[in-house]
Amino acid sequence: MIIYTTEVQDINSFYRLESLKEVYGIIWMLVPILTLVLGITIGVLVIVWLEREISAGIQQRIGPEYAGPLGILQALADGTKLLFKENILPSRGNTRLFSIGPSIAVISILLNFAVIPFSSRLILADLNIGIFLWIAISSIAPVGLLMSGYGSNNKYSFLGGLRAAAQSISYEIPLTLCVLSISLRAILDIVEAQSKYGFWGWNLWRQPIGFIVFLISSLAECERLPFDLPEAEEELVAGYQTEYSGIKFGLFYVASYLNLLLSSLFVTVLYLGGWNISIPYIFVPELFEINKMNGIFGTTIGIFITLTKTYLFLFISIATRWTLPRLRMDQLLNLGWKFLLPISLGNLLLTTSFQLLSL
Amino acid sequence: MFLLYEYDIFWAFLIISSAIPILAFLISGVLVPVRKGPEKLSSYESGIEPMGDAWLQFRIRYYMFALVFVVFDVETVFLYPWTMSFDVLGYPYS
Repeated sequence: MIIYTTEVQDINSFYRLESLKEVYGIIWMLVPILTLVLGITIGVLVIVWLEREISAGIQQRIGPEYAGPLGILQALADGTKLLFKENILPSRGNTRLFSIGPSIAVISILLNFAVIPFSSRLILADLNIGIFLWIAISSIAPVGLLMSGYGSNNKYSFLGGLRAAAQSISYEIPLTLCVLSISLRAILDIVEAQSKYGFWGWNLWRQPIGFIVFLISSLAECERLPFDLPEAEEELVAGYQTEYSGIKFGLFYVASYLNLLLSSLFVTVLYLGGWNISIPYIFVPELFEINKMNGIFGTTIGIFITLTKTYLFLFISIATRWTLPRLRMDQLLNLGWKFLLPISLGNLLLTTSFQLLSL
Repeated sequence: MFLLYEYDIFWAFLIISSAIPILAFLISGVLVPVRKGPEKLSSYESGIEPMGDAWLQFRIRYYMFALVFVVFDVETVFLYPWTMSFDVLGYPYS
């Protein structure tokens, strides 16, 4: 009897310890995820403000200045306003598809942030297939666009959704082939392979054609000008977003900027050397110590450098939006299929030839 | 927790990021004023009454783009293993 009760007590205390460990494991996973989501949200707010300020500068006017000092809280004010707007569901439209469309667009883009290295050893999910996961999941976004176009009971939304999906999938393949050319060289770690010669070790110089193709394809994926036709303000009255109001429209808006941030981060990691300082250490020997990137100070510097390079590319894409005119739909699809696809295949061939010749 | 250990955080991230639109819809459902009217429910067609059905015949070329995309995507999927083991395999017949 006594042995029986002590055994039961042992099993009870063991079970409590194990369940505590399980809970601790779950909390240990939730903290980095919530930190990343917070970081992404702040990033999107900054991008919205940056876009307003840069476009104001290009058009020689003053940007937002009333919401918060220098207009910093403008994005937050816009989002809160959209939360309070009425949610109109079109009659005879497919309500389920109408609601799920923007959600899928946001979720599929948000998921890709899990595989970006912000600094040395600072990735949410350190998978072997890392960048291939981005390519795979970003192909889900056109499904959301098709759902939104079909679910609103509107001819123009339907056509807009079809065009947006066609544009999105057309530029996926040059994107994939450029990433393929990069992963040919650096089998282990793409950012590490760019760190040896500092500034001159960037993949930008090793694959200039790939960089240009990647730039154009990612601008087309984000549906930014000059590839803006699916959400053209004049031609199609915002295309697949016509019937949306309130927070669903807000979700499309956020998804667009999330996509832009994601593409900029990937350009940084793939072509601009990621979180390395990129100053050739031959000139400044002391900086070689910092290039090791260990400890909290090194990690913070890594994050800072990644964000600086990202915002450089963001500035370029925002300035491009307010400079170039819009492409027509058939010109757009021609560019994707007949121009960029053969060039990216040629880039892959060129890279493999160089790799063979140097071996 | 799940079968493949490295993907644990990924699944947790998926659950949390699908909670974000749901949270947005819930908050919006609480805070939003609802005033129905016949004008609000009709579709937008530049201010006139919508003519005809919304689900019209669309051009076949959109379907063909999707088809060609699938073909090239499968080709890319086949190219990936060759790229990753290029230093071992090299070109064929070399």
